[in-house]
Amino acid sequence: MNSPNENDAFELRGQYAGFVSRTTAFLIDRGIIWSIIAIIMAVSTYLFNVVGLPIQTCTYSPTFGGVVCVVVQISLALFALSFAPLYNIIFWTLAAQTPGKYLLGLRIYRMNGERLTLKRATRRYLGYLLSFAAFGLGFFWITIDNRRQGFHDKFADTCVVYSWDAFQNQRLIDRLSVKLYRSRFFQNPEAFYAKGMTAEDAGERNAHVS
Amino acid sequence: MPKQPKYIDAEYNIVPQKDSEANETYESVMRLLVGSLLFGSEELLKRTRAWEQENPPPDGAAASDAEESDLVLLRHLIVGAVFLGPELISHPLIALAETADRAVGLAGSLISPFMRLPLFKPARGLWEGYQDRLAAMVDEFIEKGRKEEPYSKAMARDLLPEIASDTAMAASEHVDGIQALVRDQVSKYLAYVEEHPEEMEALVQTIGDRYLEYLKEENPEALQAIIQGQSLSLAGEVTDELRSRTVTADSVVEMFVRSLLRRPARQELPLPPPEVLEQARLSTKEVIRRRNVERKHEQPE
Repeated sequence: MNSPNENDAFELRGQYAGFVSRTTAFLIDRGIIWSIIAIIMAVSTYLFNVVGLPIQTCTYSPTFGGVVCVVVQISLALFALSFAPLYNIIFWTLAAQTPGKYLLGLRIYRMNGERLTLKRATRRYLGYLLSFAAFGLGFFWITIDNRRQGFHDKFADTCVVYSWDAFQNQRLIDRLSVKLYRSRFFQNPEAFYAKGMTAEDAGERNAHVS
Repeated sequence: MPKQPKYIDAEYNIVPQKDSEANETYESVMRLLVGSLLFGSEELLKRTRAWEQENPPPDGAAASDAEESDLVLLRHLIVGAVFLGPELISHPLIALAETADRAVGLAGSLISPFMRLPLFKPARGLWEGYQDRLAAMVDEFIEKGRKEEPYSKAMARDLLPEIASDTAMAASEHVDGIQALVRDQVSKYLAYVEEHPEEMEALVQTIGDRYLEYLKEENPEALQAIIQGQSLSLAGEVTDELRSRTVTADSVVEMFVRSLLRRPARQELPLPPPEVLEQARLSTKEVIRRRNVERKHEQPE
């Protein structure tokens, strides 16, 4: 691993966070959420089984046991459905980050630098659902957008930034940039110019690297 | 009658010596020392003379270096004085001794008429008795020296080589023996350990357990600090590695996607608003603290 350059570290702290960091944080949070839900479900099922209420198999019947069974099943389902939104909204509001984002050194702010209120956090979570509903395009948009904002960020006017002295392997990025853009540019430079791109865009800036 | 020798016992009392064992030991040691000194001096003298005969000193003045420094000249002066000094000093010393002898003789001739007077008879008797005792003591010393010198030399000549050779033999025997013993034992132990690795593991584990037990009993804070420090540093390293890799991957993935979509490579990300940059530099604790302060202010009084 390259040692961080002080200037790079300074430049990247506070910069918009990219797709991989955010997806990794998201997956870590999903893991935590699903683990907690699974543990609570397992413990509840075991305890109800012990008292003679098999909530996995029981169905509604006009008896006390049947009613309790349905109530417990609905409660657990509601808990499972609401835990993820609550987890996200509460952490976003209180700490500006979830545990997964904390691990990856990311924070969520409004575009004016303020932290998220409960209302804005809820709005952002609804944006999450919207991003999912659009076949995940809302999340994928992070890779294209200039401010690395997904649909949910745009919907809630928020951004995710690096909150640590972030640094990246600049040499690797420069090499890839040359490989990806330079050959294509020389094959058909007109197409590049037609899109408003320059030789610099095509990796000329990094030609010395190769 | 010679006086009985005395010695100081363990309780610091001066008591008469019961036998002559101590004297005999003293005499034996002294014989060996004196004999060694004489024997060594003779041998040294013999060898130096033999060397001088083989290598006679150079005749005439030695060629002087063209550029001799003051220090070199001083050194030559001192060395020359060492060789020529005794010759220069011996004449004045002899003259001084003769003068002193004459002065003593003159003083004796001047005092002797008075010393013959009956008034000084007791003093004369004391002086003559002292002279007699001194002469007897000197004669006794000479006799003893005459007898001891060849005896001591013989002892040194016979014993010194024997002692040296015995010591060397004993040392070499011991070193070889010890080395062989250690080699033998180590090779045996290594072979045993190779055959029974579980015993070595058990030994290491036992020692490790004892050390941990010691730390737990004697210094639990240190043990706790070690464990916490190791865990934290390991966790910190893993986190830093994960973060730096994902940050690089952010740019790499973005580059691939933009390349696939025929979009220009991103040269630089636009900077977030300054308020966001400022917030990003706060620690998580500070963010929570500020949040709590804000919430307190929001609550109606």
